[in-house]
Amino acid sequence: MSHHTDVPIPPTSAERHSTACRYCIVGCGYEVFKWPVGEEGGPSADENAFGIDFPAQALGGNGITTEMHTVIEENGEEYNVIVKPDDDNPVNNQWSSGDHSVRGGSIAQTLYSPENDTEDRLKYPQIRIGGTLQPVDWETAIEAVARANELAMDRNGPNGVGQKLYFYQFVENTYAGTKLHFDVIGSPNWGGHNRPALTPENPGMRNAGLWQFAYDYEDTQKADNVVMVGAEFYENKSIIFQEHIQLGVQDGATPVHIDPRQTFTSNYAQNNDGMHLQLEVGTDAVLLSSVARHILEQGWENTEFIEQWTMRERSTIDDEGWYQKEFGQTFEEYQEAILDEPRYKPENAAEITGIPAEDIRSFAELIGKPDENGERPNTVFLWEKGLIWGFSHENSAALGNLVLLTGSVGRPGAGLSRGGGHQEGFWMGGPAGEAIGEHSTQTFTTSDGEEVTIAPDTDERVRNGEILHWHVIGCDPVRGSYNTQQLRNAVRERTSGPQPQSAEVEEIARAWAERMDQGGMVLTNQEIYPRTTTEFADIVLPATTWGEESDYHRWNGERRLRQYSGFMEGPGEAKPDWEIFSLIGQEMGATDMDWGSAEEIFEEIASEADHGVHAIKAIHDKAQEEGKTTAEKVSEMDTTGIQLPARLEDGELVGTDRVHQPEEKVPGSGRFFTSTGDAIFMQVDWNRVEDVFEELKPDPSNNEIWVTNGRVNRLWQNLYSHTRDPQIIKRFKQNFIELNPADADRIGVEAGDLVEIRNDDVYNMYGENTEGSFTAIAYVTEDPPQGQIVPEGTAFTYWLYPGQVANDIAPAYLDPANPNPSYKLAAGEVVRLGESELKEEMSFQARNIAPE
Amino acid sequence: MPDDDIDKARRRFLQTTGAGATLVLAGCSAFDSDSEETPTETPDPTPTETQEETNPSESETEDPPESPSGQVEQLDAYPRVKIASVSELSTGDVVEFKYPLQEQSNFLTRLGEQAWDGVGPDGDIVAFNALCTHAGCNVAGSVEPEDSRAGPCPCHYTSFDLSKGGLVNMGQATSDLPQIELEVDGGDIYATYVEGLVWGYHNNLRTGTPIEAAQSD
Ligand code: SF4
Ligand code: FES
Repeated sequence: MSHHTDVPIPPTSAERHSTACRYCIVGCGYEVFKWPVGEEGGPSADENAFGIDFPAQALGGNGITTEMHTVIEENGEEYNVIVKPDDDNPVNNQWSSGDHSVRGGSIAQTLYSPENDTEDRLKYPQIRIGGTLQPVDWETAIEAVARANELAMDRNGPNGVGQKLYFYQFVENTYAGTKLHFDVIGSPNWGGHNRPALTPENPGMRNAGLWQFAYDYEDTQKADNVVMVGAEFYENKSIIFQEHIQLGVQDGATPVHIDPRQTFTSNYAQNNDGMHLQLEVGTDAVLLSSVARHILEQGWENTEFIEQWTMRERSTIDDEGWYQKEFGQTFEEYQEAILDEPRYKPENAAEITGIPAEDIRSFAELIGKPDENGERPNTVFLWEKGLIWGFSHENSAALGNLVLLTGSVGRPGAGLSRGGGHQEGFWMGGPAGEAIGEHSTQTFTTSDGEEVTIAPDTDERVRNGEILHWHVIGCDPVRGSYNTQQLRNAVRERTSGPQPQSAEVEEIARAWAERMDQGGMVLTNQEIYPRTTTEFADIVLPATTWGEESDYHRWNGERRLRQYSGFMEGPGEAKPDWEIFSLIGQEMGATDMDWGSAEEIFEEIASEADHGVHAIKAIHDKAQEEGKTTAEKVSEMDTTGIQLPARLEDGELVGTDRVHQPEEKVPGSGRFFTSTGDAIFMQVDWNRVEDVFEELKPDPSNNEIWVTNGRVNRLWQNLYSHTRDPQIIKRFKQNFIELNPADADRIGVEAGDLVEIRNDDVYNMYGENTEGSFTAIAYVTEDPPQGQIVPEGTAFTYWLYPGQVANDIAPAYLDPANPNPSYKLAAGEVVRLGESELKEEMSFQARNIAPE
Repeated sequence: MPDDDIDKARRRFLQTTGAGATLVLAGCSAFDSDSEETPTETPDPTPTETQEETNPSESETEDPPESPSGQVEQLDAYPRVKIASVSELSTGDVVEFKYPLQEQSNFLTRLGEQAWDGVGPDGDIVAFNALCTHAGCNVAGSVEPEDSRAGPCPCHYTSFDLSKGGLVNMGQATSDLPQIELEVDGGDIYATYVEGLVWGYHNNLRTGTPIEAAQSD
């Protein structure tokens, strides 16, 4: 393809819409300019909508790249659209102006447009008739979904229906979707896009009263230490890194990266007097607990904080709930357990984790030791999926405990937060607790022998036949779940039974009833593009998305709520997700789902949301006082928005920079989110997972190595949009696997070879182990200037590449108390298939070169 | 640290301008005049020596007009301009030159490995616009010819693969570094075209002062 060599300048008359980035958690402020093709602004400040003289000034946030511009078509008219970072909001304007990552900088290329590679957007509802997906009208499609639900419920009660829904695509849509599922249907079988059960992602923190997004981005600028665990910040939380963390480091903060790979962030930390603790895959809990042990042995723990802000009575912990009763500890119990566990001795931990004991001690000193005046260091603890998708309880508990031990939380420069992946737009719209409590078929037996009902692993219930109608919305579980090769096999088999022979609803229902009676399943896929799951779908419902029609709301990693303006129409007959849920709900008899707009749903949500970390009722109240809707009030706040919880102080609307401050800021909660407002230490017992860990570990006699997975800088999630941008996807036209040259030599592969990663013994806690495999291009760099990105014995691959699915070998190990999968703990044998056609074309330069 | 990078950039620039001084065409970067307005923590994206090392041409000593649109002398096509000769360019050299506007900085380098659209006997001579396609900082000081790389950019650390058309290897830029098309004629290297949009411009041939095309033999 040839590159464009010019872009149009928006005239002063161009429409401007305020929004935030389509993609990652950072939530950079964005603005959209739209104007008819044929009109054009001029290069001097008074002639254009930016008010700047061209050429634009470096770092000023107003350069227009070719990737930021496209032309869309509406009602036969053509419009120029520029989607660019906004240069006036606190997220992406600290070190430079209007900063953006490679992902956000190319949003325009993903808008539905004859200019872009978006022709395959889903435009019409379809039903598989006689084995082929065929367009049908909306009425037939909605009736068919309702019938599928009814047929499933006739046979298996509410448990017959499963829903798989994104956590992020705006509160209005998730509210409507969960209302349909938990209120109208009443099923416990619900999974988010990234995990199979309605579980906390960080159980060892959430159940300890710690919030997973507790900080203010600017805390990283004020910190003494910025500790980043299991996350590549430069690549994947780019603007937090380059607009915030980097300012803190320039100001003297010590960066620490804890990760099995030596990435850009590792090298950045090392080049800036920080540390890279390059631990063995899966051993985070041992490392962090060993750090805790050294702090305890030295007496560096923050006694004042622990006494004032953690639960000291066993009985109070027991009363908190079964999880706390099972895993919660008083400080004394915690201390004893850590000191009694020989594996947490730095010398022994060094054996398990591969981190030298002296480095464990230095890191403990860095975050734990008070200075000569007794002042304690301010540490911001950041983590993401490398920690979360290992052993989720042990890992999250071990890190949460360090926060409590050091008392480094709730003051400027001190705190905790996930790095985050996507932005957050989840609002529960139905009685999930009730549905799970009454109907879940999954239990956990506590050490006291008590059997407690827990949120069910729904992906397993798709495999085992409990779910008869699976409604999958905006995610791709046959690529995104664990052990996906086996899941695809199950879904293929269960959807391949009797097929409707005409689009007449009675005929459709007849065939599906027959299929369900034979142990089969009906699959509805509500989507914007056809994806892997769509290949198996019986019903396809086309949805609109970011920027299309509705004005939506969600927040970023510092809980900054913004409005995402709709500025263009969706394709064909696609409808917003909330409307699709509303139509299905009404078809099934709901009388309170007849919303006329997303704004109406937001109003409904806001009018009730008066407590908790996402309280927004204050915005609603202020809006009412001013005679506005809540959406109008948020819209006034443009790209800056407001950090939740929103509160009224002396009648003025204010946001909350960080939570867990000593003064209560969260309506209805104490400092920490427990019944007493005190936080809880959590047990980290390596015995709980050690046997599984030994089984998951690569088996050298089978030539296995770790094949862990994760995000990379320029690819977003399952690539639903980025495969469509030639400038983006050309870097990785296929999935790739980073290999250490020592492993590559041993296997006999070189950069650019196509390899297969195989495991014929994928761990399965539910039954027989299974087989999995996927292919990828070997990415090998000889003599990189700043070290190999992967150590010998560990490979890394993209987690959700279409058709080359790393999760095909991800183990089916889910924590028995809180069924979160250990996606990262995969292993396999790498085998050369042959030379890839991309061998000459692809760059194999080092991807971890940080400034020296 | 970015500041060190800038220092390195300056040193490299001084080294390379030794060989290339006569080749550096007149004019200072479009961004020099703005550098005082950037935040103090921000590394000056352009080596400031550019201003000192080069002699402004006659046309540049005139008072700048109020609006850039006023000063446009539009170029209708890319000129063919001599920028160096093959014999004077050794492997590892980095030479800056202006093209096609006097405000647009580019670098010419010889990688020692064959490169896409490379010229010269070994196909290893390439040239690129110097402004990072992410947010316009100057990467000429971060060129590592021995690794066929430009970057990490001093501002947000994008690195580009110079053997593969300026491909973004890693980082926040969305587009390749614009490659300057070259021709070799009688041992001389000519710039003939810019593949891709120069950062900050809406059109590579507008809002600036065209350089004078060198006479070809
Ligand atoms: S850092 Fe995240 S939010 Fe910001 S531009 Fe990139 S993808 Fe968008
Ligand atoms: S300007 Fe080069 S990476 Fe941002």
